[in-house]
Amino acid sequence: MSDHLSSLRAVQDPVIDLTDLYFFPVPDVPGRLAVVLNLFPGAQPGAAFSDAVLYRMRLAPADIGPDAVVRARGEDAVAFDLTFTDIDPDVGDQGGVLSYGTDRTVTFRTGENGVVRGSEVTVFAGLRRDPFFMDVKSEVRTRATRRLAFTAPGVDAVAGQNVLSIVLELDADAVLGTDRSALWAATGESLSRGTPAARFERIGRPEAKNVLLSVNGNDTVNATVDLRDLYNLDDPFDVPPASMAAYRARLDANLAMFDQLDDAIAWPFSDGQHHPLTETLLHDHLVLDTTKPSGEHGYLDVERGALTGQAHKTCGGRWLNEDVIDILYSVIVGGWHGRPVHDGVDAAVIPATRTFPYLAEANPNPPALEAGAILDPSD
Amino acid sequence: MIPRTERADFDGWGLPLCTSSTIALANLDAQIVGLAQHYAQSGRTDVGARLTNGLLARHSIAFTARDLTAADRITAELVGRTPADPTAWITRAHVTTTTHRFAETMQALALATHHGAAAEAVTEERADVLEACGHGPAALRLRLAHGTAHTEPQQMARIACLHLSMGNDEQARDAFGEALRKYTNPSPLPLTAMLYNWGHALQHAGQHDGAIRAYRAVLAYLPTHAQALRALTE
Repeated sequence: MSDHLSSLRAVQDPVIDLTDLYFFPVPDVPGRLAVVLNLFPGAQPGAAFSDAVLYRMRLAPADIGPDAVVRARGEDAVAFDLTFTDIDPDVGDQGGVLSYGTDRTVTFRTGENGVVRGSEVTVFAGLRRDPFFMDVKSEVRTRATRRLAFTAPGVDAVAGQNVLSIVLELDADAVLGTDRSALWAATGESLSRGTPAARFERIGRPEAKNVLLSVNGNDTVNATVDLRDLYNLDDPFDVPPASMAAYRARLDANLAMFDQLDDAIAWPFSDGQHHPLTETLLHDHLVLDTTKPSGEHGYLDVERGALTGQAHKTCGGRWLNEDVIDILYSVIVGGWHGRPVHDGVDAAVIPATRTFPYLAEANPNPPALEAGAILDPSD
Repeated sequence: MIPRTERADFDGWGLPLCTSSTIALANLDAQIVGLAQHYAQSGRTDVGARLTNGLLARHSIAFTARDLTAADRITAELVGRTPADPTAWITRAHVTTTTHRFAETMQALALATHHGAAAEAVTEERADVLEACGHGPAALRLRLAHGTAHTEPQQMARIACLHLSMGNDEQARDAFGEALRKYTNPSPLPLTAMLYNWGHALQHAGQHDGAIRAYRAVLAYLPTHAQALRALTE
């Protein structure tokens, strides 16, 4: 389920559990970009951000390497750090501080009344509808049975759920610079504010951990190891080589399994050892072309362009209402031009809008999140 | 307002910065409300088990009979509705252990095992019963022999408390210090449970000054922790 409940540590405390990251040009407003970081799966009304956690989004210029892999230049990243105060006992909201660049700060409060709109940055933080949608049980069944188990229609496991959301809208020239790279990579993180310093979670592409790195009995190098907590410890722009090797083995094994779900091989291993998508997916960030206008369909398009040599036509990144499960499964099962795979859930119950803060208002009576299937290895 | 705890010194150990009591308890309350609504609508065992665990977590702090009564009622429903589900029996055992009805716990664990419960879950509960009945050495042997997560801070802290109850002070301190060093979760709930149990074990071992310091550390994170407050006034 995207990145919901994506590690045992996160399950113990939902305030560190990042669920999704989105990165897109602001619709109808050229020159402005938006980044959305969601957390706290199944949040109920009254849910609050932790005052002991640093919520961070980083944007880094990116390049397409000679191996056709999009890599971020982490050393040039711009960090957006958000911290929150304790709950105000009189009002019930929280204070927040956004820090970015070398010395810029914006103070705001949670909830719609606490939005701060600036020429450089606009910020919202609070409870909203979870825009993600997916048939989780059918996806889990697919991995367990090694057969495509999606139905039409499917059952949206996230229907009616809320999340805590942080929404930033920024002026690209003012914040990222005028003489900037076209491609930018985005990541989200939750980190300890105190000591010992710890990264609780990191997030880039949806389903990097719960699906692509899942334990499925395919990976003979780390046959039963749940890599997700280790994955979360890494700096997304500077993953240690030893960790990278473990993720590479898992991705190679799992991607080979996904490729065989339709009994056809769309992804022959390029050098006899590695899946052609592995290296791209190891660099786990959303990639946006900031020179292109907004669009509602762009997920994985920049990566596709890099790998196929046919330049991307859309902005890439990830728009809030994109059906990323269909896109991901279509690509990993059938290749870039194969028969599309559908999970039978095509939109959120209430989709996001095109205006800030984009995500629909929170559901006052959300159902409980179904956790079981996501937590258990699927073998 | 009680000052936040960031690497505060506790008997030579640093304590981590955690989410404030207000936020942590508000989030717990909100989760319980949501789970209660969903359980009322669906009656599902997994939701009932999660709701029960939430109620027991809140009970460990507020010590209100209402949460315990609700947990007892829900788990009775769970084992009645889904008697072949090991999760229902394990959750039931957890409640009966909390209420010191150990014969019921052993019966529930036998049924959990019969219906395929994971050995680790059954062992944990059995060790809890042995510990509560004063059989510390047996509980420690069981935990060390069957525990699967000795590197988890909460597990290490439980082992530390058992060592303390057996007079192995040095091993106890080593294990508890290691548990605190490994604790990186921002939630104060597991941490305060570790500190309270440590204080309780120190108190039983006659180390009253240490117990008081442990209870005060609990209150620095959760000022409304009823059992720590009561222990300090006794």
